[in-house]
Amino acid sequence: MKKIDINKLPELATKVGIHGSAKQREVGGAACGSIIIAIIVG
Amino acid sequence: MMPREELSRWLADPQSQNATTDRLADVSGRLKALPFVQRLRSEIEALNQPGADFVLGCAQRAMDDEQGLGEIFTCLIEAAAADPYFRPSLRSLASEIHTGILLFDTAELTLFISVMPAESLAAKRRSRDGRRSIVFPGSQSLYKFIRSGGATFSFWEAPPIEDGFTAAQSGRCSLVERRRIADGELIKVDGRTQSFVIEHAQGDLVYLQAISSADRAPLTVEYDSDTLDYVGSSSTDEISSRTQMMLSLLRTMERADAVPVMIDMLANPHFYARWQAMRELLALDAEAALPHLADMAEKDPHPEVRAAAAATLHAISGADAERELELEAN
Repeated sequence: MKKIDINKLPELATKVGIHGSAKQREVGGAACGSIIIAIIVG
Repeated sequence: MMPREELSRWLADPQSQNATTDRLADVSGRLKALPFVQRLRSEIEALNQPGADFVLGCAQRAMDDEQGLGEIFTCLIEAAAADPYFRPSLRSLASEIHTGILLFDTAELTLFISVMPAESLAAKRRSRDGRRSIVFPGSQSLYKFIRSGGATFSFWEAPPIEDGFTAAQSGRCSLVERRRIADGELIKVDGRTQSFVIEHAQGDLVYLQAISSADRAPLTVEYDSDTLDYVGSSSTDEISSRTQMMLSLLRTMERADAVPVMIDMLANPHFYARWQAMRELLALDAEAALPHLADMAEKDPHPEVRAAAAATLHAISGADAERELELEAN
């Protein structure tokens, strides 16, 4: 069985985090369990 | 901890504890049987194709049913008044800026009521540090601000989050308007293109929020609150996120029997899940992956998946493939 080193395989230009992850902190708001509370504070 | 006399008695008395447990079960049953809950459940179940507009229509009727909502809280308040150790059987939701309880939760609709104290909003604003995002959640919501707290919101829009979304074409978010919210106001937010920010509040906000999972975009997308440029995205699909992690684990464990599962995952509706499954499959069993890789390079609906698959196919078929990709024969 041939395998390829996964680190050598390309990733998509549009990187997508797993559910509930955030790149930066929200202006405000919270992720509660599976519910994203779409309220943000300026 | 030094319990007070009343708590000490309760802790030492199994009968009192059992009575509290019984009351919790009794209230839980009564809540489920309330006409408000039964009616909402029936309406949702009766929808043939529960699109977000229809689901949120049901939610709006429930939000307007003040008597029905009142019966839920009467039930909880009476139980709490009769027994200080009673806790609502409804799931609580809390963050640094709000406290709420989940009133209704099905696969199609989540409905909860929350309080957002003005001082929590002010504290949140004062404690700001680092980069911040305006988040477009990808799902559609309906809010009813029972008490608006004299709050001023800014409303934002961004290019639609669709199945073919790419970072390159994400554009920027932009301000639509800034205005004060009224008591009793209903606001529908299509999180695939819309979001809002609470700019200022004079008092506490009390609001109902309904979230429909129907017609949900594949991604939650963030834009930088200063530059308004795209920052990043995350999956809205908890199941596919968990599945991706499981596939990584199976590949790390070198479970050859996971190949069929990975092949199944190549048909996932989300482009990022399809490509991640392909990467795991190539890393587990490149020979099994190759026919699917060729197919993906030609037919996948997402341009970045097609490009990544084509680039991988090219690298594999190249003369230096063994060295470039560290192909290993086991």
